[in-house]
Amino acid sequence: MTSKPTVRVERKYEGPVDDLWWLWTTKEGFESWWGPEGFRVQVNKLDLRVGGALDYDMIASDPQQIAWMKQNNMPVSHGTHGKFVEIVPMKRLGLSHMIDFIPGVEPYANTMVVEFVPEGKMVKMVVTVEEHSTPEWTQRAIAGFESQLTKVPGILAKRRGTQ
Amino acid sequence: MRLYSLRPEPFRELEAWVASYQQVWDARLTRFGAALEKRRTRKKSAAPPAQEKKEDDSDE
Repeated sequence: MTSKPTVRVERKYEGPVDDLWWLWTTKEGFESWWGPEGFRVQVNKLDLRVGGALDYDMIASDPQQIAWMKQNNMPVSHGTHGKFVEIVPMKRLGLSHMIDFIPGVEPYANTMVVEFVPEGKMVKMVVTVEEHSTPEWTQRAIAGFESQLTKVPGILAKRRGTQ
Repeated sequence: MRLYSLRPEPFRELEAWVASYQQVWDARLTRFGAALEKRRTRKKSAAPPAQEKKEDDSDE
């Protein structure tokens, strides 16, 4: 059992799988979809090998987003550092990101794994993201969660002792 | 026998975080689909029709 929050998303796309792979593993492909709403991405380095870098700038592009960032004293552009941790061409891709842009939160790494599963003419893409650590505003939640779980063995032992 | 209870709040916060993260990813996967479609369309239009003899090597 893990107390780390994991997010798993999946979606089916029309194949062939090499088009999907291209979107993840090339500068042009990655830039075309990665940026969250209101941001665009500019890839500075993409070295597709295990341990190779994926460095990019995330640049706020939406006026509302820019205003919000400024209001919260956050830079409108941020250099993001990633690393390829697993590469099985057309099948599986592991990416690790340094999350070092949250004010007041120690930098931490988060890892995601993308799997491409052919299903006839379609390809199922499964993304699993696991946080190694969590932003401050969820840390409290995790701490609470963990403290509850650490109590469980004691509770069970006590329970057994009374039986 | 003793009864123990777990406080639900941390679980709810965790759930909320997971849900918001899930939304970010849902939106991202929708953009992925649109980018995939765009690439496919571009590939199709870049490939010269079979009848045409003109060679096109202007692929960027």
